[in-house]
Amino acid sequence: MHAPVTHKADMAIRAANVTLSLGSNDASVSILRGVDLEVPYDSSVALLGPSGSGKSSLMAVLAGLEQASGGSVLIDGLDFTKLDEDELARARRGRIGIVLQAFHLLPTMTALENVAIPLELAGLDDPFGRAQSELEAVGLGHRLTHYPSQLSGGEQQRVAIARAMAAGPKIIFADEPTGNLDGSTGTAIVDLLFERRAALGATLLIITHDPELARKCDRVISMQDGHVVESAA
Amino acid sequence: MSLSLAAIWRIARRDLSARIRGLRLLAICLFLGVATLAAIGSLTAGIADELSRRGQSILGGDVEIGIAQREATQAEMAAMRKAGAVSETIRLRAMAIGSQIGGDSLLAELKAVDNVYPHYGALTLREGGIAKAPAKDEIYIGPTLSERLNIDTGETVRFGEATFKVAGIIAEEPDRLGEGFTLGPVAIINMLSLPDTSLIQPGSMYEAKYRIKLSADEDAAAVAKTLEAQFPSAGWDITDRSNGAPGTRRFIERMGQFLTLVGLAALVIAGIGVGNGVSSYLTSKRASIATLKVTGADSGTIFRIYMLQILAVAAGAIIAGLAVGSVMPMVIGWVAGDILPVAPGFNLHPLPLFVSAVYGLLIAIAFALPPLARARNLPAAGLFRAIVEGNARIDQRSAIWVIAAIGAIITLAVVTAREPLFSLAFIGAAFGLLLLLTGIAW
Repeated sequence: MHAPVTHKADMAIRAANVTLSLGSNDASVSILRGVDLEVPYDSSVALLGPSGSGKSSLMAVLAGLEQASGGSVLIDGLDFTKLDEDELARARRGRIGIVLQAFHLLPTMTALENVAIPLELAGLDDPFGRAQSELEAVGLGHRLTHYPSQLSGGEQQRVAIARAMAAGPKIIFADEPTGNLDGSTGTAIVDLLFERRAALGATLLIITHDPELARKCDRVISMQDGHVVESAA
Repeated sequence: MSLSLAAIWRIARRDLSARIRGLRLLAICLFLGVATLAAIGSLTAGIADELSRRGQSILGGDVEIGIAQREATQAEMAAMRKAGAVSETIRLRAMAIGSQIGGDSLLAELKAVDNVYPHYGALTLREGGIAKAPAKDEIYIGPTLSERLNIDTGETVRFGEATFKVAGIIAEEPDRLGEGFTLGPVAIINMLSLPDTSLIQPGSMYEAKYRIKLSADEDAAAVAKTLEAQFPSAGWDITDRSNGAPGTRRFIERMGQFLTLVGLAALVIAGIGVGNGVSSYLTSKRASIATLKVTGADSGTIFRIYMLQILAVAAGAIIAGLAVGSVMPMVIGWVAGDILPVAPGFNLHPLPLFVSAVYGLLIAIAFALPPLARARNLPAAGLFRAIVEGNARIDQRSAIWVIAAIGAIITLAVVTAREPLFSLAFIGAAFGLLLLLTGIAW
């Protein structure tokens, strides 16, 4: 294991000429074809684009869930291209929060236990007290001991948001967080997401197909065929 | 930063469903394997202990001197009497002939005993009560002899030229195990009656046994050694109370070893079930593993979380297996009854239980590690992609642990064996078969 390479961080996210190819040499597929991106701290960015344009893959690379095939990725000053899978996992602790479309809560754990997980993994004090505060902040103070199967879709996504926010991350990645929810619930979830981001002063990168949601962000980036094709404030 | 074991356990316990559905196969395989090994080990140890505990009554004395085809000389008798009180028996095979006209005959073990017999234990009759040597011209016969010749108490039976009145049917002959292999049912007469049978002639096949009773604080082995040294060329077969029934003990220990190896082979086969159970459990946990990685768990943390779960379930199964295995000797003793040479008492035998537990633990580790080592390498991106390229190879450290666990199983089997070479060959064949089957399935 080598020491993480850190740089002076003037940007929450700084990606240059990022490429990502999946599969073996013979059947290699290029997913990202040279993406350049800079996202300042305490800002929000919407990532738009058709299915297969590389939005989720870009988010996976930026969140350290996937290792880029080429280019450079600096996240909060940390060079993610120099880290292996385990170092990336450790780098996410307390730094990055992730909200996914399908919630991905641990089914054998209560809401409180799910939210406490990243806090325990980060070795933070009083993980259950913090988790409870975060669940109360997302309006689920009365659902602490409920299992995911006992919660509605909207409530599960609130738990996922609380889990992503609980450790006070600097950067939050959200991949179509309202994709599995009905319109009104989705709107409430988006409002909650932005409200919690503002409270934390975190950077938000959100993938969406919804132009209405994208308009709430400071900046909108459009992707197509693995390239950033448009970036507008 | 590495999480403490307590923190890892807190996460592992919560992730492990209370119903442990996915690990039931692991639990059942280990439970059955450990229970089998613990039962075999406890039964063997129980019988061996009982043989040692009852060494005096099984042998009929503290020291026994067997002499073939002759009785002890005066000098030999004097030396024995100097050591302690002596009881003499003479045993030979002879035809027992029923009292009816043209009555059946049956080969029997005729035993002539003196009035001191038995030094230890009790000769009991079916009619009740403890008996000493029968009166002259009377005989006690075994139940088989009674049934086969259709004679009962009060009737007569003939051995050689003497006719005896049946004074009782033997319920328990205290030194039966110490007599070793017999060809027919037993009949006991008084030593004084033996000459009347005219069965002891020059060249007759018989064995005289002299059982010496020592005072409680005397060292039987030392006395035996001293006596043997006094008559080095007397052709004695001498033994002491610590090994009252050497033939039976050897048989039990060999049978125990054989059954242990069969149980171990069954446990190794159960290990395949353990591997499959863990593999399918971890497959069902792919989403949870990827989620934990997304929230900051590295591969080492994943490995420890699921290893702890597997060990916790394995420990439960092993403890249950030990509990069942430890009471099995009592159940077997109750079911098998007289088939066993002695009934094993209900005692905990720590060594066989410990060995069974270690076998169970090593099998769990050896077979659970490969799927666990693959699961730890599951990428966090597994949540995004429907198909994640599986890594069929396991890392070097896990491979070393698997090899070490297998090596420990072999070492344990060889070290605890009565015949190490036989055990080694048996295990070699079992693993060879396993490799062959794996090769065929490749």
